[in-house]
Amino acid sequence: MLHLMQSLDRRWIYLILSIVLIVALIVGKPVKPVVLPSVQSLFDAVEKAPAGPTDGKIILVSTTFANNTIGENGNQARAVFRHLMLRHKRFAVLAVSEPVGAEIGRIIPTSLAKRYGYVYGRDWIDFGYQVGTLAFFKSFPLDIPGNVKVDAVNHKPLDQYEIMRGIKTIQDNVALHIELTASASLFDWMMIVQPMTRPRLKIGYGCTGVMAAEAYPYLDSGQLIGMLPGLKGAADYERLVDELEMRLKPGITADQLSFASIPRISLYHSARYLMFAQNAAHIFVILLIILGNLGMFLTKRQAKPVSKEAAND
Amino acid sequence: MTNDVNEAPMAKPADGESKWYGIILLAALALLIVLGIVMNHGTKTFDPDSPGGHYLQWRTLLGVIVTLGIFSILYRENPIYRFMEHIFIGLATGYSAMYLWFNFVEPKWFDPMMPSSLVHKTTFHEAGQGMWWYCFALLLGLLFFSVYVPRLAWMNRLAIGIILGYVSGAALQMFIGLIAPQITSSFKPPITAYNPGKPLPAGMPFDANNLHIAGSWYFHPFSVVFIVVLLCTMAYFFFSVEHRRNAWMRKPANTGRYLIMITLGAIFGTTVMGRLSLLIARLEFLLASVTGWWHAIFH
Amino acid sequence: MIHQFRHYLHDHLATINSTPHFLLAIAASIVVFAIVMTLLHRTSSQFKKWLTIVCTFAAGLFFFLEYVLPVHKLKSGGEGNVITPFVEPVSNYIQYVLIWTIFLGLISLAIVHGRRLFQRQPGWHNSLAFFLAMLAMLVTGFATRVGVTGLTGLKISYDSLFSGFLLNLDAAMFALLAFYIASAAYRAFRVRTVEAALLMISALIIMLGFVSFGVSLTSWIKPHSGWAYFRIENISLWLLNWVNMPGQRAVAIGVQVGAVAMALRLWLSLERGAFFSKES
Repeated sequence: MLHLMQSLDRRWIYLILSIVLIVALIVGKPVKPVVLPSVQSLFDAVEKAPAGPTDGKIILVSTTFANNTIGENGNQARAVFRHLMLRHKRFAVLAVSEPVGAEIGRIIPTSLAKRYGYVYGRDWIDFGYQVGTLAFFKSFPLDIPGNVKVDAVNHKPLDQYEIMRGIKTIQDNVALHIELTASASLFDWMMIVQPMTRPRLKIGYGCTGVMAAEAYPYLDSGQLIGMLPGLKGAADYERLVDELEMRLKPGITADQLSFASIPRISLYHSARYLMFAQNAAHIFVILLIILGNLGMFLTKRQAKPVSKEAAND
Repeated sequence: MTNDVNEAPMAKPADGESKWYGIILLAALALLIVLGIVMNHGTKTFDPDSPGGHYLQWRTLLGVIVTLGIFSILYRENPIYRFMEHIFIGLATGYSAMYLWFNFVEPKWFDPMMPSSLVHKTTFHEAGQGMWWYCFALLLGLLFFSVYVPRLAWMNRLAIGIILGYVSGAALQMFIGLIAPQITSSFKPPITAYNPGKPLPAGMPFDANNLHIAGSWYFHPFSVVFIVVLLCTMAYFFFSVEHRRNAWMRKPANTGRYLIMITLGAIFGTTVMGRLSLLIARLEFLLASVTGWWHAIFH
Repeated sequence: MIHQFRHYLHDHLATINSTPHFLLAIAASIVVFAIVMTLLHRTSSQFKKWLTIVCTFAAGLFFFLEYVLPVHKLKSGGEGNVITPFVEPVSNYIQYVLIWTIFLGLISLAIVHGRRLFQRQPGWHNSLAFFLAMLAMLVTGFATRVGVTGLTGLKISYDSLFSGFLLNLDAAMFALLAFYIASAAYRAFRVRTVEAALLMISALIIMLGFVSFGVSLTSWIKPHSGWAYFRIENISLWLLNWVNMPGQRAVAIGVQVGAVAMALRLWLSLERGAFFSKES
């Protein structure tokens, strides 16, 4: 048994992990996670952001991620866009140096817009793909329409859209920037754009789990107003948005909330549903760590009496 | 499956493979293309989001095939995985070049360079401006290719030197923009003569980091932890003073090593969460596809 | 007169909108560039090295000065100094130069795979698949973007390659990592030292703190009681905010200071090594 534990072929681990996750996905149900303070901060920042139809400001959402992190960033984006639309916040979407992100940033709000009565050009706009050069980050904050020029959906000049009337600079016309990314693009915004604004531009961050731990210093210093760490962050934000939606629309049931399935980009279930599988996966990994170390300790123990006898000879 | 602990690492040779693998894989690819043509034959207007129609089924089938092809490496290194890998590299390369051309090179370099007699002039796109001197950007860019000619390699060093200078010059402002707030927010006094007034942590009856001592004095124990961790971690990475000979450096550095382990544990924990999420998303796709086909066939 | 000369230059030379003059300007540019590079090539290696050092320094000095020179209100609006109006055009121009390096990668790949394909080395079929995939994406992508009409098949082909192949391949590649993490957790994560034990305990607390199962382990502790700090999610948050955070900050500061030091060495061409001192 001990020998089996120590020499277990990794392919058995792969198989068991796959079975655990598939079963969890089949039998799973949406969880009710404990909301992280960083997620709550971002939610509150969006609630307070003066980006309504008469405020003269917009919220900038960057969807700088590809299909490989759709499970995390895609769910974060969906929850964020739902919140913005529920609260009638005007927003612009862009993707910096990520072509697939530009497509995703168009697909998700388009899928949600009908449900929330959002009209393109009046309530939201898509700036599309922008190349993340130093020149872009230095000039975009000072002249948004001058740098973007045309929108990504209809390829028309920005001044033809109602949402862009009076929108010129980040300092005066952007209430909040939400960076949803799987790359280091956040640092360009923090290093170049944020120092150009007084007071400091509020930046929210939606990252993959891998990048979450290194973002905490920026939360502490105030450079980030809030953070969504991976799928956990997406599930927490989704819980807050679901509760908000049920408060704003008293007749709505929990089943009606799970509408935002977007198969085109492989978003089938809600983030809270996927967290059930995440639970199962974490338990499995923890068991693996414990079993692996147990095997090692037991093997060491078995080896010790032999060496004691040898020493006494 | 065998329980061979000393199995060879994943990357493996094409030497022992049958010479027919290449033909079989290429034939399979051709068959897939024929299947795609058959499934989508007769489509008059293309709508990628149309719920009915064969295109959606075709796209799902492709997704399942390539996903299982990539996952096949989990069993062992095999020709199917390598074939898929090369297709991926080819597609990614072609897509990057194409996207870069249409979203950067053409609107920002090519169109403004061309004269209005050759390109339709527009007011917002900056096309047809006739900025002929933009061609020097291409000529300077060609200097990078001198790396292939050893005699001319100095030109490549010149071009790279300019780029390195450009990035280095911007490094100072990037450093200050990113790190200055980090340094200022690192000053967390353990004892203050005022109440910082932070809101109570959610669900807590009291703020353990804001303990009232006497009068208007407050003690912040977590700030002590913060200072110790910060200084010890910085001491661990400070190599200008030899740690072995200097006890003032050695002890904090040794403590820092243990504290860094906690940081690394946090990174590992969040990394596990992040990586598993990627797999969950993929399995969700596979499950949804198979479920969809099941319903289509049996219901 | 200088003013008139500047206007003449701007009106007649900065932009050329007639095709013959434009082609003449391009041809002249190529000739002038070739002559200059030929003359430079004939200089001594010492001069070439000096030229590289000067160009590197000048490129860096531009952005450094733009950052450190005092700012004032600009005529165009906003704040800046004498160099600020030139930052955008210069940065853009450098990007137009850099953009051609993508073809370096393309050429390298083409050489490697081309050699394998044409010499019928083992795995030639993979190289063929690489070329086919790249060409298919380029052709269908260009045709779709340029707006070749009436060819629904082209649009289907492009979307099949993009949404069917590329996006799914990308996602599947990343999904493999989860299997390797699980395998590493079992086979490699061994607690043999105090450091490893600290790492493992910290990782377990963070992992449990993020999921409902972990939270339920300490759900018996009343949330508003004095012991609430010992609930697993609160311990996890405390570790992230008060131990992980300063550690990450120390590392980030160290890395950035090192980056600035390295940037300074590169800017002043103080770096030594095979790349910097090797002569052709």
